[in-house]
Amino acid sequence: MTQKGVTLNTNSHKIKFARSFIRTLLKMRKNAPSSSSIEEIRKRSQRIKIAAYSSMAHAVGSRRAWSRAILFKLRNRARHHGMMRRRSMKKRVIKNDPPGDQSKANKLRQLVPGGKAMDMCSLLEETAHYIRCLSTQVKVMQTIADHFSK
Amino acid sequence: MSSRRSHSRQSGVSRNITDDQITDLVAKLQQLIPEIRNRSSDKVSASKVLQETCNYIRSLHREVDDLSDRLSNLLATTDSDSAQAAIIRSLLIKAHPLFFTKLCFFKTSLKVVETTWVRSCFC
Repeated sequence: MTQKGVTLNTNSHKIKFARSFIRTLLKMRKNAPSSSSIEEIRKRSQRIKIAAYSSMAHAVGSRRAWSRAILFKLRNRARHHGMMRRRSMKKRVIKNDPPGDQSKANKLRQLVPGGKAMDMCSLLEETAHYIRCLSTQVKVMQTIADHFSK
Repeated sequence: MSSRRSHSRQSGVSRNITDDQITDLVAKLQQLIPEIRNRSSDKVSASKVLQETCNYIRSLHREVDDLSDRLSNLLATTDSDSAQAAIIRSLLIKAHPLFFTKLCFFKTSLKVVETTWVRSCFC
């Protein structure tokens, strides 16, 4: 992939992400009641965060392993949403690794979606693409927040 | 999950992972991280690159959290008319020549407004 190809790709990702994210926000605002209790705001911010990651994953598509992992996780979460409620809200068990034994590669695997099932080479590639898309996402969200607060 | 894991293992075996490949990828990663890029153009150790990558990703996640909090607060405070007005205002400020020909401001569907605004801001 040439440099030009890379920049073109990020631009189209940026536009697709921005469009889908704004659409979700406007839908959210339409459905939301005008009451602004703190808990509702917190719940909504959680939904906005999920919407941001989901829009970004949709914009990238299934081309990348990390976006596939996000889409897979979202589909499973939607499917199990009813079952989770019934199961007494058990939090996901975090494996108790002793803190000193975790190598840096493992920490990276935990941060990049889908990283646990990747070999080192693809992990580094996916990390690079993931960082680029994450910073695009942050820039777009920043621009939107600035526009809304004017 | 298991199918994906076996697929990745197969691709790893067929790929002949060399040390050069890994050092190339680490160098590419190094260019993306602002702290390392600004500090030194010399070689940085791979473990430092990995560490800084993890820190950078964590800070990006934190920024996304903060921004979504901020957006949620803004959604609560702005009402629908002023939000649409804000979008139209930003179009006027951009003063893109296409807007004046394409838009009739109050009759336009939100979709067109949204698309043209997005294209102007982010192209």
